[in-house]
Amino acid sequence: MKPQSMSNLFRYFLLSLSAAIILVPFYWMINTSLKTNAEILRIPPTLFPSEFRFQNFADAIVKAPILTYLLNTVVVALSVVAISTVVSVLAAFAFARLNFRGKQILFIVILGTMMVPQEMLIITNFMTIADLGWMNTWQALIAPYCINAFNIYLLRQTFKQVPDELYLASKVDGVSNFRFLRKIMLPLSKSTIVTVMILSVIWIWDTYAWPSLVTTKDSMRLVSNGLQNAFTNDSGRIQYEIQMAASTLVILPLVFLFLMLKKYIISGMVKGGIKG
Amino acid sequence: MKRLVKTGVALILAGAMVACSNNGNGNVNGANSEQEQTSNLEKAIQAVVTDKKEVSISFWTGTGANNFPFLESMVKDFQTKYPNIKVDFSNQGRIDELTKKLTQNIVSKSTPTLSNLDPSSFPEYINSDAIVDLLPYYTNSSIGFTNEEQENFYPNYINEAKSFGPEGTMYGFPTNKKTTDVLVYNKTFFDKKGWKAPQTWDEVAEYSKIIKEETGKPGFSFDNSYGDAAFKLMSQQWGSPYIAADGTIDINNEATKEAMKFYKENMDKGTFTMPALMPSAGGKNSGDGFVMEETYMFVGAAAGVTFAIPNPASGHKDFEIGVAPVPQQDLTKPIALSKGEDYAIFSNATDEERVAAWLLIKFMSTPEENTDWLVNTGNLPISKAMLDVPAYKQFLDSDKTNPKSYYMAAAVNAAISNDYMTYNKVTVKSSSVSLETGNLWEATMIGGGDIEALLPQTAEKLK
Amino acid sequence: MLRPKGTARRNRYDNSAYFYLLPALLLLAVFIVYPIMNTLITSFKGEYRFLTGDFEGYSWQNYVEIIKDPIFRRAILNTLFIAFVCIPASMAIALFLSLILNSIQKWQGFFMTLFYLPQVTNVIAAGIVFAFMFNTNFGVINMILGWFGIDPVAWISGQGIASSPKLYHQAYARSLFIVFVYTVWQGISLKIILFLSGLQNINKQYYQAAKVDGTSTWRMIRKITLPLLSPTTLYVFITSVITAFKAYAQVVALFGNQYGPAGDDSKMMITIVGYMMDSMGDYLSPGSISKASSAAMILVVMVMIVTAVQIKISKKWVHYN
Repeated sequence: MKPQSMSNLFRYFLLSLSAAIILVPFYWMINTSLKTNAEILRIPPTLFPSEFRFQNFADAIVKAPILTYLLNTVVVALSVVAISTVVSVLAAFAFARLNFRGKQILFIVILGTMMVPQEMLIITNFMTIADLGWMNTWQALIAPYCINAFNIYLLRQTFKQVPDELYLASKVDGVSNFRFLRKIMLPLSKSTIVTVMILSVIWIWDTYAWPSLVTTKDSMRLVSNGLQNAFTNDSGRIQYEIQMAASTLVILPLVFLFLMLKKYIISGMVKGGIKG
Repeated sequence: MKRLVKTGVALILAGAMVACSNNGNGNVNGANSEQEQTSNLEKAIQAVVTDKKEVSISFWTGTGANNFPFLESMVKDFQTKYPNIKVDFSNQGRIDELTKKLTQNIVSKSTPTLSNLDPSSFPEYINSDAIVDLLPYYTNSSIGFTNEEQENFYPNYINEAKSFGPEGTMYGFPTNKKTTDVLVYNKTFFDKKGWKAPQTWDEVAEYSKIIKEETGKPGFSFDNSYGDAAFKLMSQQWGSPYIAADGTIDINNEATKEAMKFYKENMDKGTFTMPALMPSAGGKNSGDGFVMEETYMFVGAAAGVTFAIPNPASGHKDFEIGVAPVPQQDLTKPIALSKGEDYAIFSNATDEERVAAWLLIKFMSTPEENTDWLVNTGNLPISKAMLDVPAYKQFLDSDKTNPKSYYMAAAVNAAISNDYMTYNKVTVKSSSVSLETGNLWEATMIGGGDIEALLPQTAEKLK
Repeated sequence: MLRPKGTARRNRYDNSAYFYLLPALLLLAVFIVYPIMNTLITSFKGEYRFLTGDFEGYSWQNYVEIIKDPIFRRAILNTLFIAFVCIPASMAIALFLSLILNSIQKWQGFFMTLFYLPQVTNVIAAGIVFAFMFNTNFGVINMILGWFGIDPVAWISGQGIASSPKLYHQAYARSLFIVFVYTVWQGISLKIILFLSGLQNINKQYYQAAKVDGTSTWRMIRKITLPLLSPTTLYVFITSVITAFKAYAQVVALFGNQYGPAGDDSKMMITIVGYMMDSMGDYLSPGSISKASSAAMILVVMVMIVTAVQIKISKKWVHYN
C-alpha cells in the first residue's frame, strides 16, 4: 500500500519526528546521569553535560557484592529461561494441536490468569515458599517465574500457524507428537521462542519485590536489589543524577540485548500477534 | 491447635509476661510457670555462658549500605568474645522493607532470632505473641545490666521500651539508631545580623519575617521525610495529647488547630516554607534547598545534618551552619521527641538462642563498641557512659578542621543538651496516624486546605 | 483399513495432551490458582488479622466498605481513564505510524527498532525519568517550552489545591496529561509491531484491484485496510485494556507513594492496584489484607466483564475472512 497523498519526504519526516520524541526520555536519562550535582541544579537545564561524571554510576550501586548479584541474576535468568520455555512450549503445543477434554476451559483459565494483578499473588506465594522451606534457595527465586500465561498464548498462536497439512502428513507417516514438535514445530517457530526467552530475561532483570522477599542473605540476591537505594532513598533526598544513572544501568543492558536479537524479537512478535 | 500449643509453650517460657498477657489461652497456671521460666532462663544462661554451648542466631537490621560495615564489625567483635555463638547478620534494606519482611516471616514462622524494629510495629507483634519480653534479661543478675549501668541509660529510651507492652514488661531495647530533630541555621547570616539561634517559635517567625523582607526567601522549613514530624512535634508543644498514655488517638483539638494555624499563617505570608516548595529541594528534605540559601533555617533529624553542609565546590552557596535544639512553644514546658528503632527477640527462638541474642544486644550497647558507629553516623548515644569514652569525647569536641565531624557533633550536642526528650506511646494504629497526619499537614500547608474542615476528617479516618 | 488414519484421530481425544500440560498446570495451580483462591476467601473474612490468622466470620462487609470509599471510586475513575482514553489514543497513534511505516521501502527496520525501544525499559526506571522530565526547574519539557517563550509550568505541583476546586482540577488535569504521555510512550512499541504485522498479512491483491478502480488512499484505508486489520485491532485492544487495568508501577514512579503532588490529600492519581497495595501496606491493621483482597477481586471481575463486552461488541465490527 502506498498512500499517494503524502510525499515520501513528508513520511520520513513524520517518522523521524516521532522517533525523536520517543527517544527524548532515553536522551534525558543518559544526559542527566552524566552531570554533576551542581549542573543538575542549573536553571534552565543544560542539553549536554559540561563535564562527564562517571562516578554517578558507581554511586548508584550500593556497597554490595554487585558481582555476586550479577552472577545470581544470570543463574536465575538462565534457569527460568530454560524451564519456562520448555513448560510453555509443551503447554502451547497441547493447546495448538491436540484434542483433549476440557481444552476450552483450561485455555480460558490460563488466559484469565493474565487478568490478575501479580502484586496480589505475592503474599500467598511467599507463604508457600516458606512452608516448603525454600527461603534463600534458588528454587524460590526460579519456580514462580516458570509459568507465564502470555508466553503460552504467544507460542500457541505461532504453533497454530504451522499448516494443518504438515501435522496430518506426519501423522500418516506415524511420527509421534513429540517428534513432530521437536523436528517440525520448533524449527518453524524459532523466532517466537527466542522472543519468549527474551521476555523471561526482561522479567527477571526487572523484578525486585519477590527476590528481596524470599532472600535474606546477600549471597542470594539479584542485581535489582543492588540498585534499590537509588530508587528509594533512605533519607528521602532526591539525587536526580544518581537516580538517572541507576535507571541507565537498569535499562541499557536490556536495550543491548534487544539490539543484538532484534531480528528474532520483532519477527517473533509479528508471528505471535496475528489472527487473535 | 498446633498454633495454640505453640502459643502456650511460648507463654510459659515468657514467664513474667504471662500474668499480664491479654491472651490467656496458654496460661496454664501462673505461679508455677513463672518459676519454671526463671529456671529455664538460668539453665540457658548456664549452657551458653558457662558451658559455652554452640548456638547459632540470626540478626536482621535495616540500614543504609554505607553504615552497614560499622555494624558488621561490631558483630565480628562479638563473635570474637563469644566464639560459641555464631551470628548470621544481614541487612534487609530500609526499615519499612525490613518490617514488611519480618511480618511475612512471622506468619510463616521463619523469623530471625533478633531484629531492629520500628516502634510502631511493637503493639501488633506483642498482640500476636511474636516477640518476647526482655525485662527478665534486662534485670538478670548474670547477663542483665547492673544498677549503675541501668541508671546510665537515658531514661527516655528505657521508658519507651517499657511502654510498648503492658505494665511490667519491656519488649524492646533501644538500638544505637536513635536521633531527634534539631534546628539547623545559616550561621554566617545569623552572625551578620547579630542573632542567636531562636529558642521559641515566636522567634523563628520573627526572624523569618525579617529574612523574607531582606532576601525575599522564606526563613524557615520543616523536613517531612517522616511525613508527620512537624505535626507530631508542634501539636504536642501547643498542648495536644496526640496519642494519650492509654493509647487513644487525640488529635482533633484546639491545641492542634492552633499549632497548624501558626504554621499556615506563616506559610501564607511566605515566611515559612516546605521542602517540596523549594526549587532545589523538591522532595521531603530541606537540606538541598538550605545549602542553596533558598531558606535560612530548618528542622530536621540530627543524624541527617551532614546533608545540610554546603559545599561551594559543587555549586552550593558559601556559608557556615549552626545547630541548635528544636524551637519550643513554651520554654517552661519544653518538648522534643526521640525517634529510632528498638531491638526485639522473636518467640520462635529457643531459650538458648534468646540468651545469645540478648548477649549480642548487650554487647552492641557497650560504649566502647559504639564509638565508631556513632562518630560516623551521628546517631545519639543511649547511655551517658558513652560520654566518658575518650574517642567519643574527642568527637564531641571536634573543631572546624574536620567540618563533617564538627557539624555532626554540633547536632549531637544540641540533641543531648536537653533533658526533656520524650517519646509517644505507640498503638496498633500508630503508622496510620503518621501517614494520615503527614498527608493532612501537606494538604493544609502546601495544598492550602482548611484546617477546620480537614482536621476532623483526618481524625474520623483514624477512629 | 483404508480409512485415512489422521482424520479418525483428530476427532478423538488425545490423552497424551495431559502429559504436555502437566508441568504448566502444576505450576499454575501452585503459584497462580491457589493464591487467587486464597485471595477470594480472604476477601470475605471479617476483621482478618494477618499475623495470627484470626478472623470473625465471612461476609460482604469488605466489599461494601471499599465501594463506599471515595478513594476507591477515584481509583476506578483513574483506571478507566488509562484504559479507555490513553489506550485508544496510543492505538490511533500506533496505527497511524504503522501505516506510514508500512508504506516506505527503505529504513523500515531502522525505525521499527527505534519505535520498539520503550518496550525494553523498566517501568519504574522509565517512570522516574518521566517525572524528572516534567520537573518544574530542571526538566526538559519546560526547557523546550521555554524555547517557544512559554513560562515554566509547575507540572507536578499541589500548591493551593486543597483550597480551591479550580486549582485542584488544574493539577488533576496536568497529572492526567503526564500519565497520558507516559502511557502512550510506553505502550506504543508493542502496538506498532502488532499493527505492522497485521498490515503485512493483508493480501496485496485487494489494493491492486482498488487501484485499478482509482479509489483514493483514504477510502482504501477505510474500506480495505481497517476492516481487514480488525482482528489485530481487537487483539491489541483487549490485551492493552487488561494491562491498563493493572496500572500501578508507573503511577508510583511518576507521583510517588501518595499518588499525587505534595499538598494533595486525595490520592489524586491512585489506581485500583494502587488502592490494593495501600491496603496491603497497612497489613498490621486488622482487616486491611481482606480489603486488599476484595479490591483485587473487584478488579478481576471488572476486567472479565470489560473483556466479555469487548468480545461481544467486536462481533459487529471485526471481520474474519
